[in-house]
Amino acid sequence: MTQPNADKAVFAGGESLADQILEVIVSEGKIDRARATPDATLESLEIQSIDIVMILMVIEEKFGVYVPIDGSIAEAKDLNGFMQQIESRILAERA
Amino acid sequence: MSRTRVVVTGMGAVCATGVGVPALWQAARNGASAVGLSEFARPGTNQVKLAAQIKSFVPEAHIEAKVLPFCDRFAQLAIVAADEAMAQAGLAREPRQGSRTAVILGTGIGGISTVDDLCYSAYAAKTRLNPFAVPRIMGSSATSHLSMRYGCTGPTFTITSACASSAQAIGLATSLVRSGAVDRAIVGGSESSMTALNIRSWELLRVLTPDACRPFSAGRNGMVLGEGAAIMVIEEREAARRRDAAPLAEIVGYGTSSDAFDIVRPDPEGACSAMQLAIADAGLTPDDIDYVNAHGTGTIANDIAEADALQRVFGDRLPRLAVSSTKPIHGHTLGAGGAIELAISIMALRDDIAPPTINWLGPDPKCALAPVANEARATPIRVAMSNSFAFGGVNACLLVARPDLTPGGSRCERAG
Repeated sequence: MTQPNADKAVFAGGESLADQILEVIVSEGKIDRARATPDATLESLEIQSIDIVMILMVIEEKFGVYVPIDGSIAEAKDLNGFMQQIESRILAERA
Repeated sequence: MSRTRVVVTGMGAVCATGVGVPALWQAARNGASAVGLSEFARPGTNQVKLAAQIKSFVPEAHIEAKVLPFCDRFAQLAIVAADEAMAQAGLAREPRQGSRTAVILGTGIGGISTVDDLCYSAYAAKTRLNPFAVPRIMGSSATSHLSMRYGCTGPTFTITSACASSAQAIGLATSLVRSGAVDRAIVGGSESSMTALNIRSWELLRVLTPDACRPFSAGRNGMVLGEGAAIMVIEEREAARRRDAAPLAEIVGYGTSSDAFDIVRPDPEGACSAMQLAIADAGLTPDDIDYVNAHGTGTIANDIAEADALQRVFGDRLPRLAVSSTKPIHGHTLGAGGAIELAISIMALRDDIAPPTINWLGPDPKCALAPVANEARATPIRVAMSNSFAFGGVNACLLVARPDLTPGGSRCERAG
């Protein structure tokens, strides 16, 4: 299974996969873009379970990948971890 | 003054494991999963392909042609399970059961297969609509079919509390028998929600697993849906004795509570309360319970909350207590789950075998229990607990004991 590189700068510029994921999170989670830093906790961003449901639905529509709300995604504490888990599922699907 | 005692004298089931309680118990005991790739007459946009569907069921082989047009699949399953339960109880369609027999079933959704067909006919295919849609769809239809089938003119109603429906139905029926309102009741639950759209709707909540249901296990990532029914005949013990019926188990405790917290997130306090109420109702202590059939869906939210609640009830004994979830075998059958899992608990009690939690990969530090992992365990079982915890925060817990024990099961006194 393809795993994302932990050192990969998911917040790098350009239309990277990470950028597209972040765009979905910011839009569906109704987050102030300026506050969406890698180490921001989901709690501090006020991302609740219902927001995650909406984010994952748009991820499915955009990338055609089903991401359960349980499992590793539930372990994510900060925005970077959350994005890494989504990216991991997308890359695994493409592999 | 001693309390009226309620025994189970017959059981029936139809699940993905096949028709009959023996098939269900054999699969549960052997850890033989009936989960497979789902098949739909009208496929949807589903991403998750797994479900515990009943694939070999031929309703015409069990139910009269004149009855079938009025039966949604969930009612069909209930009728077949009820016929098995009544036969085991030594009861028949004639003579009619009369006003001292109640019928109380649970279902979460009712006739959703008919709704699905109707919507397709009306909006997409624009074909002739089923004229019997209303009696097929109504959630009380399975209950009414059973009342008509066996001539039960006592209290007849349906409970819908999502995944706690049939456990509440059995618990409330037990209370009715205890109260003296009726001598016996046909109880249980039925659910057939295997439409592509329904499974897609669960998918949208992201709680379905794309690979395997692993309750309380490391690496779990969701649940798998199933369909099925389990029906029981419960009776006042002396009434059963008078007609020489052989009890399979005694229902000794029932507890129910509400989280009043969140529509989808469970609160361990509510689950803990339901278990404690059931234990108190039975006049037992947690130490009297030898086996727990957990709700155990395999979702993060359920399993962590249930493990927490079990810890509060059983304390330091929890890691040594035989706990299992049989949902990876027969699927999460929603409103029927409480009845199906109680049937398994009664068989576990009868055979002194705790069925396994299959697909278990290792402990999850967040769940402080050691489930009966992957293979069944032979263990003496005096009292078994069956948990049902529902979306909406509805909790129900049932306790069953060996029929030859007094309610103070720990003392193992022979009943008179």
